[in-house]
Amino acid sequence: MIEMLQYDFIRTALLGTTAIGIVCAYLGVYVVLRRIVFVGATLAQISSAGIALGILTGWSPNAWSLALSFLAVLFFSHPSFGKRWPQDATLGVLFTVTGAAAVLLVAHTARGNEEVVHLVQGNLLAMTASEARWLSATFAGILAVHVALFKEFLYLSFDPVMAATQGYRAGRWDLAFYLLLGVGIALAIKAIGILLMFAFLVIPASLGLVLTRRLGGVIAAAMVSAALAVFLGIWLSYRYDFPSAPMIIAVMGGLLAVAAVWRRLARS
Amino acid sequence: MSGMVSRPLVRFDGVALGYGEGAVVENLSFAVGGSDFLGIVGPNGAGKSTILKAMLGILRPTAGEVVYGAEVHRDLRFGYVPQRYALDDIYPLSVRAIVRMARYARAGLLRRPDAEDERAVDRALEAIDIQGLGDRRFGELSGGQRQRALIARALATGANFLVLDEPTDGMDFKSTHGILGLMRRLNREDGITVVFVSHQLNEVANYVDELLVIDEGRYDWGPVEEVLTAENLQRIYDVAVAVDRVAGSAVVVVKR
Repeated sequence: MIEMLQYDFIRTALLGTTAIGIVCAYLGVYVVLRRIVFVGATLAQISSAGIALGILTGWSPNAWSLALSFLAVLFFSHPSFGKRWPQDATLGVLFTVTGAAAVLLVAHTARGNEEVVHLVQGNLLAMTASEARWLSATFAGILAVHVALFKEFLYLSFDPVMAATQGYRAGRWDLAFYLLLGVGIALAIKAIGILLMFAFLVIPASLGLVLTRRLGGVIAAAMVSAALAVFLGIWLSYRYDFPSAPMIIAVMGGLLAVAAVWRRLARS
Repeated sequence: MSGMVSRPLVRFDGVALGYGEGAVVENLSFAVGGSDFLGIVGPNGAGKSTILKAMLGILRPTAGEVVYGAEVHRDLRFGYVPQRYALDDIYPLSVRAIVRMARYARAGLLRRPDAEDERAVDRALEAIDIQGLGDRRFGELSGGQRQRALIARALATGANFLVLDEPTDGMDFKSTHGILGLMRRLNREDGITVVFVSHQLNEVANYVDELLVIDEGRYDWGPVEEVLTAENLQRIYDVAVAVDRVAGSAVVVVKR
């Protein structure tokens, strides 16, 4: 297992993906508790359309991804979102249309099919050392802001009306929450792909909720399981020659299944 | 419209409220004074919760104005108790963690609640007599226990004006009267102003001092004995009703 660490590209992939994974696992606890899982999936899909635009135009894919993600965040955090039209229908339309757009935009580029595959499942092992470093730094920053504003994000997520009676501007806090989420997704999507991003937002948080009964425990379990899944997933993909992102997701799914069985046994 | 409030803490002057284009409430005028105990009663969709939001300052009237007789957050400190169904069970939070939320605004940005905040949480749990529930998970509590936890959270803000949204909705007979009795105790013994909404006229009328009965734009506000007359209720609800007393309690029934 340790043998794989002799390779620079694997150490780089481990650093970058672990940083993204544990921070997304933290954000995912809010995503699952606020029941906005499909918002997370749609943000990832919209960001991938931004990456595709960057590939097509030759301009910075991350800048395109950030720009589209920012527009989506403004839309999702607007008070009227989900009021006049069913929220899941709007998200479904955006998810499918931007997903199709991403595929169409890169279909006729030099490496069309390969780009489509990378958009979906990422290309962890192609991550450069500088990319891994700035992704780690950016995600550490997102985590630091979230931890510093922990009580505000928790209060505004759990009971925005009560918080508003105490002077909190619920709309602004919602915007801040979605902005941090959107920036994280937009910057990581090129490296890890839509599937793994979505998995990081949902599976570790679900595992935490299955395993423990306190919020601190849920967050800790989510972050630890994400880091563990990254290490095991990359090792299994190295050992048995499988694509790494799907393997990490498979490990996360396996851990969640074990946690669910353990909880059932513990209760009986 | 015969309410008498000497020095109102909150006054609605010809207020209209609504979301988007339609008005939910129009031309509504009433007032709440210090230590008042007011029940707002009406059927679902009558605009009761909307009135509470306007009272709390989180919904602006489309016409008229809501006037405060004291400085909000300093002399007039609202403690809001939402409908317990509005809060999601999925959150893995203890009762104590939820009551502690009431202190977040005082603690301020980037700071954790301190020892004084923890003492305020203890006092609030004690005042509602739920000290033993502090470590229990909120989602595992019964309806009555949840309502008590949310009232404790409202008190932990340091509130002198409680605003409760359907606090007895969906509760059994015993829990309903337990919560109504608790609100009356907080009003009588601690001098806390209490305003709450309900659609259960019979239960509310026997606890509060003042009533605001509202339905489809018609309303009446004043002391219970003045509002609770067959003529008034017939005008508001547009059905023939009788008001009687049984064992000292008012009972409103629809005539057949």
